[in-house]
Amino acid sequence: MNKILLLSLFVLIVVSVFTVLFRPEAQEKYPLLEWMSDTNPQRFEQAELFEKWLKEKYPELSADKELPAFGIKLNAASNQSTIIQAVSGVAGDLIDHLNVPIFGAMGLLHPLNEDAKRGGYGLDSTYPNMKGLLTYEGEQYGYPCNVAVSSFMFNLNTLDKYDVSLPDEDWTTEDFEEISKEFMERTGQANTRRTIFFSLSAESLGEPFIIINARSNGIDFYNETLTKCIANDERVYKIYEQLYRWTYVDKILPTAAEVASNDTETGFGGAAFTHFINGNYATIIAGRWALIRFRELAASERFPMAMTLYPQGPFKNALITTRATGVYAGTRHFDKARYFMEFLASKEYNDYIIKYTDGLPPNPKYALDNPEYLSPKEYPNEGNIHEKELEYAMRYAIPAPQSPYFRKTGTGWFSYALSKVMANRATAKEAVDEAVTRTNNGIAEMVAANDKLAVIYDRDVKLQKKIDAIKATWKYRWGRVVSGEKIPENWVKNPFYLKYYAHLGMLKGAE
Amino acid sequence: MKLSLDGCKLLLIHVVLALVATAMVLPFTWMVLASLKRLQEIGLDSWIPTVFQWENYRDVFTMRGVQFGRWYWNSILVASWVTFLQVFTSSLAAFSFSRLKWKGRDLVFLLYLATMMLPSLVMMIPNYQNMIYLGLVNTLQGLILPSAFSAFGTFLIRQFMMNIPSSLDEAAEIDGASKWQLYWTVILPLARPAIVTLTIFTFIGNYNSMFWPLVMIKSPELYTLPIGMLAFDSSQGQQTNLLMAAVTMSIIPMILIFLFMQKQLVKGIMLGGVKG
Amino acid sequence: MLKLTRRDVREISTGILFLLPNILGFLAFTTIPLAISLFMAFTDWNLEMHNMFQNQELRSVGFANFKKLFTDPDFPTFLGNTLFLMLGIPFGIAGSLFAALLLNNDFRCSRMKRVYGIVVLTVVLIVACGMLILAGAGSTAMTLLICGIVGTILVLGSVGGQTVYRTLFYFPSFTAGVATYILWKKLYSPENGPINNVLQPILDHITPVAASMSPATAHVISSAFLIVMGLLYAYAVSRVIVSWKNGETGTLSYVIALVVLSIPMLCSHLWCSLPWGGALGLSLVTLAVLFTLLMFLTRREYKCVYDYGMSNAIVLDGIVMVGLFICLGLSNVFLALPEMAGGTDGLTAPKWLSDYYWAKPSLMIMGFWAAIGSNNMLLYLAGLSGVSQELYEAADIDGASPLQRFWNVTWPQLSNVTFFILIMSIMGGLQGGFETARTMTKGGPAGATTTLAYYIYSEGFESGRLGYASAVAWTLFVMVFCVTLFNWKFGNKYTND
Repeated sequence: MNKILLLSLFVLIVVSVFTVLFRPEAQEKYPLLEWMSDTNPQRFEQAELFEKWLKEKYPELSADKELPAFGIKLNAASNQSTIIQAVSGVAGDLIDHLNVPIFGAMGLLHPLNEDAKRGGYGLDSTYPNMKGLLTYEGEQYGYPCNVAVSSFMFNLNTLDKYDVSLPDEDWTTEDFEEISKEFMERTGQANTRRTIFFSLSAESLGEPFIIINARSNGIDFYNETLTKCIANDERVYKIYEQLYRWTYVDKILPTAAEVASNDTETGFGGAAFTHFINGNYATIIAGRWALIRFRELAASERFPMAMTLYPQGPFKNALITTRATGVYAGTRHFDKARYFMEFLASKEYNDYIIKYTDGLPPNPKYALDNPEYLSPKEYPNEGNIHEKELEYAMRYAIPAPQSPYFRKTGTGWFSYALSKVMANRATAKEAVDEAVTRTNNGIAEMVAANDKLAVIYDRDVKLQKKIDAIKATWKYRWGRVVSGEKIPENWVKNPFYLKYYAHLGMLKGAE
Repeated sequence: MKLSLDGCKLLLIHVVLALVATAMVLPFTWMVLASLKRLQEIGLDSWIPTVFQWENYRDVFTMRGVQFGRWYWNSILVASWVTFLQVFTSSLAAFSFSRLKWKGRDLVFLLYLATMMLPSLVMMIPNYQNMIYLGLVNTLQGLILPSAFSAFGTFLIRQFMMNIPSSLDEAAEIDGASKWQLYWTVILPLARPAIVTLTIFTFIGNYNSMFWPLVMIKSPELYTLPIGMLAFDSSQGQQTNLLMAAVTMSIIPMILIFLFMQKQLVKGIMLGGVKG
Repeated sequence: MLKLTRRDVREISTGILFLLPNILGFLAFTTIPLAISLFMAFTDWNLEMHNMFQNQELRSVGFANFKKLFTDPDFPTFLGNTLFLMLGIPFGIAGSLFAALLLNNDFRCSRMKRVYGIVVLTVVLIVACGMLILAGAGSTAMTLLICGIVGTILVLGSVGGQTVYRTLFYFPSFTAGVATYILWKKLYSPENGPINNVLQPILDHITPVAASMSPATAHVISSAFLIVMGLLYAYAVSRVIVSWKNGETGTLSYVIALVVLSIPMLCSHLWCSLPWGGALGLSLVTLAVLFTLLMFLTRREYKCVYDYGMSNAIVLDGIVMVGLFICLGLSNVFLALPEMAGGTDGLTAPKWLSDYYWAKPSLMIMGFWAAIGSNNMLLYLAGLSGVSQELYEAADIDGASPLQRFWNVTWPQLSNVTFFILIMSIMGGLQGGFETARTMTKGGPAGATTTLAYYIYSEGFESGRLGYASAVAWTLFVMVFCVTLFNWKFGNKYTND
C-alpha cells in the first residue's frame, strides 16, 4: 500500500512536470495572442491571414525572416460568458462582442482613440452611424470584424412561380399586406396544411421588425438620452397588433404551430434557410452573411435573389449590427494587439471578407466601386444583394436601441411581449407596457447599484429634461414638426434620434 | 421440454431481469452504433450503419477547435491528483480520529461531520472569488486544490480504521514505534479496502465533475472532458456521429474502472452507506 | 477552565499534526469561504463592479438580497421546478427496490438445468445473429438487434447470475454525467431522435382511431379516469386512517400522508378540464379533513408514537400522489384527444426537451432510468441480506402469499434503509438539476427546467451577481438544513425500530 502511494506520487509529479514542459504553448516558435471569437471556421483562416499580413507589412518586427513576429490563437466555443471571463482577469488579448460599449463602460477594454488615429481604424474608416456600437462616452473601444445590415432577401424563382412581382424598394406595411395576400392566394393552400409562405412568422420577424417600424414612424424604444424606455406608445402597440392580425386573422404569416410542424432540418441559418432554398419561403431576413450557405449549393441549384428594405413607414431605416473586436484591458500585449486592430481595417482583411461573404467588410472604402464586391463573377444569381446591403449600411442604417443603463439578459422583454401577444395571453398594450415597466425597473436597479453610472445617469436625465422642454415648443402639422427650437447635437445620445432629428432639420451644432 | 414450477418462476425472473437490463443497455447501444454511422444516416429508423465509419473516432481527435486528446489528459491528470491528495490527507486525518487519543478529538470530528451537510453550492461562490485573488482561475491547480480535502473521505476511512483491533497499536508501541511508523507501516496497509473504495469514488466523482471546472476553466486547452464535451456539443453539436464517438470515448475509462473494480465498489457502498 | 497536563498537550499536538494537511485545506476551501459567503449574502457584491479593473465600494445592503429573492416572480417558478423534478424520487426508490428484490432471488439451480438453458439460448442467439446478417439493414434488422441483445443478456445472466444483472443495472448511474446527458439529449431529439422515430409511427396508427372517437366517448373515458382518481384517493386515505387507528401510523405521519395525498386533488381544481373535476377533488379533501377533525374531536387515544410510519407516509403516499397526478393528466388528455387527432397533423410525438410542458417529465424519465440501478439498489440489496430468514419462515407457516410476505416482512424490515435513501434523495433533489439543465436545456424552454441550483449558477457565474447568488444559496441551505433536522429528529429512531 505505502509503496503504491509513493509510486503514484512519483508518477504524478513526473507526469505533471512533463505536462508543463511539453504543453503546446511552450513549443510555439513565436508568441501567440489569444483571440476570443465565435465558432465560424473562417476565423481560423483569418488568423492565418493576419500572420501573413504582419510578415509582409512589418518585416522589421521579426528577427527571423521566415516567421511572423507573433500570431493569433483562436479561442472559440467558450462555455462561459465573455464578461465573466473578462472581469475575472482571464479573457483573451482580443475580445469579440456584439456589445462593445458595455465592456468599455466597465473598463474591460483598452481605450483606442489615440491608436485608432495612428493605425487608421477610427470611426471615420467604417460606416456612418457606428458610434453607438463602438464607443462609450466619446472613447472608441473596438473596430468591427464584420458588419451586417439584414433586410428582406427574395428568392426570385419563388416569386416567378406564383407570378408575384418583386416589391418596390420603399414598400410600406400596407404593400406588404397586399403582396402577401396575393401570394398566399396564388399558392392555393386554402383548405390544406400550408407549407408555402410569403415570409417568416411573426416571432421570427420579431424585434427587428418592430424596431424598424416604430422608428419609421418616429418613435424609438428609448428616449433621446437613453435614460428611459418610452415604447409604451400607440405606434408600438399598433405593430404588435398588426403582427397578430396578419398571423391569425388575415392568415398571411405562418403560425408558430405551422413553423414547428414544417421544421425538419437545421444547419447554418436554421430551417428557414432550407425553406428559402426549396421555395417554401419567398423571402427571409438576411444579409450577405447568408450567402455562405447559398454558395454551398451546386451551380445548377442556385437561384436568383434580390434585396429590399423592410416594409415600413415614412422614415426609411435599417438595422446595423456588428461583431466588433476590442483589446482586453488586462492584456500584457497591447503593443502587439493594436496591429491586429490595424489589420481589421486593412485591404487584405477586407478583401477576404468580401470574397467569402462573411458579412459586410468593416471598412466600406474597399467595397465602394469595387466590382469584385458589387458583382462577383461566379455568382451572378446574387443580383443586387451586395450593392443594396452596402447602400443600406451607408444611407439608412442605425444600431439597435441599447441603453448603457440596462443590460439585456437572455430573451429581451420586447420579444417576450411579442410571444405573449401571439399566444393571446395579453393585449398588445398590456404586453408592451409590461416590457416597458420591466425595462425601466431594470434601469433603476442598475443605476442604484452602480455609483459611477449614477453620476452619468443624473447628468443625462438633466439633459433629457432640457430636451423635453425644447420639444414642448415644437409645432406639428400632419404629424410632422414644422417649427420650433432646435436641439444641440451633443445632447442626443440615441443614434436613432440623432439621425431622425437631423432628417427633420431640428438639430443644431454642439453647445 | 418440461420445466418444474420452480424452473418456470426462475425463467420468468430471468426474462424480467433481462428486459430491464436491455432497457439500461439500449441507449448505450444506440450511442455506439450512431458513432459509427455517416452523418446522413443518423436520423434513419435503422440503428445499424450501412458502412462502419471507424474514421469517426480518428476525426474527433483531428477536428479543429476540439482538442480531445488534451481534454482526456487533463481530466485524468486532475482526477489523479485530487484522488492522491484526498486519499493521503484523509487517511492521515482518519488515523488521528480513530487511532490516537486526544482531548477534544470527538468534538472536532463532529464539526467535521457537520460540514458534510453543507451544500457545496454555498462554497463555490466565495471560492471562485478567492481563486481570482490567488490568480488560480483558469489553471489546473485551481481545479485540484479545493477538491483535495474531503470530510467524506475522512469519515469513510475512519469508520474502517475503528474496526482494526487495538492490540496492534499496543504491540507496535512496545516495539518502540513512533506514531508515524504506526500509521505508515501498520494501519495504512490494513486500511487498504477502505482506501481502494475511496480511490474509486474520488476518481470517478472528479472525472465526472462539471460545476467547478465549468466555472474555473476558460481556455480550451485546459478543459477537462465534461466541459470539453459541453463545448463540443454547443459548437459542433449537429455532427451527431462525431459527438457520439466522443461520448463513447469519454465513457471508456469509467467502463474499465467499473469492470475491474466492481467488487470493491459494491463492498464500499455497503460499508460507507453513503456516496457524495 | 480546562486543565491540560503536559501529556495531554503532547497528545493533542500529535493528533493535530496528523490532521494538519486536511484541516488546513479544509479551513482554506470550506470554513473560510463559508464565512465569506454569509457575508456576501448581505452585500451588493457584483463581479462587474468589484474586480481588478474597477473597484467600487462594497455596500452592505442588509436583507435586500433576500427581499428581492422572495418578491421575485420567478423564484416560486424555480422552486416549483425543483420540487416538481423531485416528484420522480418515489418512483426511483420503488424502481431500485423492485430491482433489488428481483436480484435477491436465489439463482442457483441444478447444473443440468443450467447447461440445458445455456444451450437453448445460445442456439436462439446464433439463429438471431444469422438472420440479422441475412436481413441486412432495415426494421427487421432492428427487431433482431434488440432480440439479440436480450438473448445475449439472458445467456450471460444464466451463466453469471446476479453479478451480471447487477453490473448492467448499475452501469447507467455509474456513468451518469455530461456524457450520458448529451447522449439523452440526442435520444430525445424531436425531429429524428430514436425515441420519436419509434413513437411517431405508433401515434400515426392511433390517430385515425382517436379521431373517429366521438366527443361523448372521450367524455366518458375522461370521466372514468377522474373517478379512478377519486377512488384511488378514497382508498389511500382509508388505508391511512385504518392504520392510524390500528396504531401502525403516528399522528404526525398521518397528517403528512393526508397532505401529500391531497395535493393532486386540490390541483385538480386548477388543472382539470372537466367542469366537475375541481368540485370532486375539493369535496373529497373536505370530507377527509372533516373526518380527521371528527376523529380528533372524539379524543380517542391512538396509542402510537407520533412519528411512527414516517417513511411509509412519504414514500408510499408519494407514489400514490404521482399516480393521482397521472390519472388527472390522462383524464385531460382523453378529453382533448379527438380534437388533437382531428387536426391537420394528427397526433404528433412530444417535442421532449424543447417543449415547455414535456421538458421536466423528460428529465424525470431519464432520472428514473439512472435511478433504478443506483447506489440505492445496492443499499437495498445489503438491507435485504440483513432480513432474518426466520421471519420469512414464520410468514410461510402462516401461509402468506408473496405479496403479503413483502408487505408484512420485507417492507417493514427495510424501513430504515428506505428512510435513509429518502432523506438523501430529498437533500440531493433540492440541490440538484444543475448538470442536466446546463447540458441538456440551458434551463429552458422559458425557464421550465431552471432549478434553484441552476439559478444560483446563472446569477453568480453568468451575471456575476455574487452577493445575490450567495443569498439564494443560503436560502437553499436553510431548506436542506430543515431536511437534515428532520432526519436527526426522526431518522435515528428508525434505525432502532
